[in-house]
Amino acid sequence: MTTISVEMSDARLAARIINMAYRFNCRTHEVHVEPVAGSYAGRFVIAGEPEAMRRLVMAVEKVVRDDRWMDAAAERKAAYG
Amino acid sequence: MSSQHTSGAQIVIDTLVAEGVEVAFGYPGGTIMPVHDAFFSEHRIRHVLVRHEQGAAFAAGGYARTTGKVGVCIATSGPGATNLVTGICDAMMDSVPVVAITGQVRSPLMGTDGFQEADVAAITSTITKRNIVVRDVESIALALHAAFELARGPRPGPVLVDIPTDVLRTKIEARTVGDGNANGRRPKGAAASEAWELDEAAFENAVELICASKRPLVIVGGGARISNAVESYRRFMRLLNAPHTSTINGLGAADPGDPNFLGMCGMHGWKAANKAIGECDLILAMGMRFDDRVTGRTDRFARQAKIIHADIDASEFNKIIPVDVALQGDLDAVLRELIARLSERTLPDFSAWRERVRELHAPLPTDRTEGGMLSATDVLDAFFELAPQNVVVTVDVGQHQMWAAQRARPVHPRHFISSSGLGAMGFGLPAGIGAQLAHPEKPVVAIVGDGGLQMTMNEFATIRRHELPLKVLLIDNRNLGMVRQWQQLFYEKRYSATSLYDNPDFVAIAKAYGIEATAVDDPAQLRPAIEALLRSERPMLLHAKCFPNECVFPMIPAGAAIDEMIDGAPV
Repeated sequence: MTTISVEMSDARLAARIINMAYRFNCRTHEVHVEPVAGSYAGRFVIAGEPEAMRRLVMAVEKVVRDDRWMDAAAERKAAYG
Repeated sequence: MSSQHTSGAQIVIDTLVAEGVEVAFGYPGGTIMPVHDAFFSEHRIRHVLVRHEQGAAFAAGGYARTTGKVGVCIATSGPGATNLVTGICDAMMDSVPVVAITGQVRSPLMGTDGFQEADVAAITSTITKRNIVVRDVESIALALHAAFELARGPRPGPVLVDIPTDVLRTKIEARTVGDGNANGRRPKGAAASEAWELDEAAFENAVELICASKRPLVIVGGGARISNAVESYRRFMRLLNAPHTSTINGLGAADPGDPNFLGMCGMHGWKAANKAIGECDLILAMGMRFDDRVTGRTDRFARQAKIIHADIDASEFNKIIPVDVALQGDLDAVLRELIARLSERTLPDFSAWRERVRELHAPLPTDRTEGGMLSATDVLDAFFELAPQNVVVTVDVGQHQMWAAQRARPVHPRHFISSSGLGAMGFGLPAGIGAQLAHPEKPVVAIVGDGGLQMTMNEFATIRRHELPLKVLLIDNRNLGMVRQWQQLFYEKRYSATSLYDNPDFVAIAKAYGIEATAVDDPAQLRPAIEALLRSERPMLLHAKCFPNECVFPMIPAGAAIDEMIDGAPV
């Protein structure tokens, strides 16, 4: 069982992570998502084969990076026009 | 903007202009009508009406791949949006910057199964870098600017912006939209300001591995195109003076005249390239992602080699192949750093290895079994011999794609355009439209098969409407050839659902759309026919009627290692 903790600006990422876990043939045991200071804290307890979990963690990191990047882009634009 | 009030739709247009968009591919419909209404009096952006939304997405991809700029496609809600999906997925798989704008049903109707409602944000959540549903008119410009920025990079990809029609119709007090980012090739704004954290230890390790190597092999991928690293890559290869190969998306990164370049590697790659992967002691994977069509069996890929992997996207490291050194960063910057460091070292003499790789070279095997009939490979041999050096080629998907990739020696990766990761049939013709609009001064040829052409040949109308001088070379073997090849080789010749024996008269179809067209089936007439195609200044189709049984070789059978190629069908 692995716990993946992420900060998300877009709560939809939670669904994305659950879907990715399914795609990697992993099993999602627990999901906690709560708003924290304008973003969301997500905690996912997932079990799966070690290689599948390794790939899942990498895939999650990637979508979280894009999420942050997009958010940062919007913030910059709002701040500087 | 000088008017006192402006609509959400007008803000869409103004934001696209601010982002430097010159052309948008679209198809109108109920919910996106406010945007097309704004296009009615718009002269800053060329709106290209396609004949199916999939054509818009593919054309935007072709435009983006050949320019490095963000391609834009526009569709209405529901079926319009869902028709974009394949093209969006194609852009995701090959890291192509595309912004898709879709209309959505009125905000109060969302979630009620309204007419032409589809939850396109959910549908595209896994095939976009991100998508956004814009809820109010004030947010349109911000959402679009952010979408462009994310689409551009660091690793490009598609972003979808879904806007309810009531938001598009809402008027607000006009204010300056802002100039955003010009539609430049490189990521700007955040990407440029993001300091590159050079991993000193990784570069040192890479240099040590290179200097200790006796048999290095470089594999270049689509990253060379994406990061505009062609010049640096060629400098790097001149310095290293070692054999190199490429993925299909990396074709054109190598200098076409470089004797060390082995051609494409992978499932239908050149023998020397694949054998070299098996024999090398070091692989430098430059902006490629170890696609399964490149690696074959991963546990037997490059068994003797250490791996240096350079990629902008850290999630690619160790995804498929375990790497010894990971160089994370923009490929151009990585290559320049390696050049600087290697220039201070005495590099090993790789002449014995180069000689060994020359021994591995073998010509492409032939599968021309029916004398007197036109062979697809003869058509493509002649085409690439006769085509001008600056030709931009878009290919569809299937046998002709692999035959073309084996033979093409493009001068730049933006000159050979293929749906490589997704392998989406129907891509070639609309991608050619995007490429030709991006490069009106260059010869652009879409090489397509008879299966793929029939998926999107309605776009002949788009070519005709805009008088695009796009050439179409149709390789017609009256079969879904690649599937048929697999049936022949691996399914006991049970040719299920692959015969296209009753193909239509493609010349008549093209002519019905107002496209000049001719057919060739006589090998003696082949070269004059191709010369006429290339000479034409108008859109033209050349229908090459080829014999149906030719297979693509070499080939790595499924489940085999990369150096276990077959040259022909087992007897």
